[in-house]
Amino acid sequence: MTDQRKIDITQLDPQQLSQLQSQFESELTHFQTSLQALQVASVRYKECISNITQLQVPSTNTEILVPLSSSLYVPGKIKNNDLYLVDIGTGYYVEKSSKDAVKFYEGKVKQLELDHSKLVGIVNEKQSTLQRVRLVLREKVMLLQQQQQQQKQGVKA
Amino acid sequence: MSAQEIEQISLKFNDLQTKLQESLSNRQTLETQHQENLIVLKEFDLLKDESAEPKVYKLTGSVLLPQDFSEAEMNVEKRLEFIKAEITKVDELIKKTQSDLESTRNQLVQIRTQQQQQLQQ
Repeated sequence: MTDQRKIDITQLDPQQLSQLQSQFESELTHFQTSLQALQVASVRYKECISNITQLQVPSTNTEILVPLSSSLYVPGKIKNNDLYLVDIGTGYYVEKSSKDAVKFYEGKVKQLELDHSKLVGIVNEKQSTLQRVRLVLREKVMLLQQQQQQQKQGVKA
Repeated sequence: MSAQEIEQISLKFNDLQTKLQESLSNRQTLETQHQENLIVLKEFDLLKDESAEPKVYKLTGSVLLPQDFSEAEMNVEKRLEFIKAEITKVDELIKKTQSDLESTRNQLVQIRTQQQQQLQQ
């Protein structure tokens, strides 16, 4: 989706520059929200891993409270702490052993960290471009103001 | 050109802009679905290495129903095909809307310069 054309921004007029600036700003906010979403997802997967490891105590029949709704619980016992149903997306759940489930979540976390660092690179790049656009825009506006002042003085003289 | 015609063109321009926005957000949703289904399919592939007949459940409403592994795999593949077809459709629509928008914009610019020239004269 990103435009790969190379444009010399010093050649643009102030109006185009300010358009470019707002475009970059909205892109940047979009990427920053994505970055946050990635972090939230990563934390959630890590929680799943720690949940599984917490259940890896040797005793079976660990007692837990099973939520039937957000405000209603029934007591239950864990018969098998080596069988998990893992949400793999689009409504599909898969039975996995604790080892495989942890492997699955660790893979997810790794992938997210990879995406995260890629995105950080993009955000940094965008930020420096935005900085450049802002700088050029300011220079152009100052130049324009100077020209106008000179014209006014010229009229007076 | 009459004021009515100009009004019509600028209305068309606005219409096209909203249409483009809609198509773009459609495209984004489709892309998300495409990615999600790809991830599921990849996971299915990995499952085949782990066990011969992996147990798969499908969330229907708020109930998990067991589903045949090969059936689940087929479903996801079919869905991917459908999404891909939708993406090409939306992409074409976006291209068409963009070119329509461009020509309408040119028309508007032309009208505006004509008006300015008339004013100057």
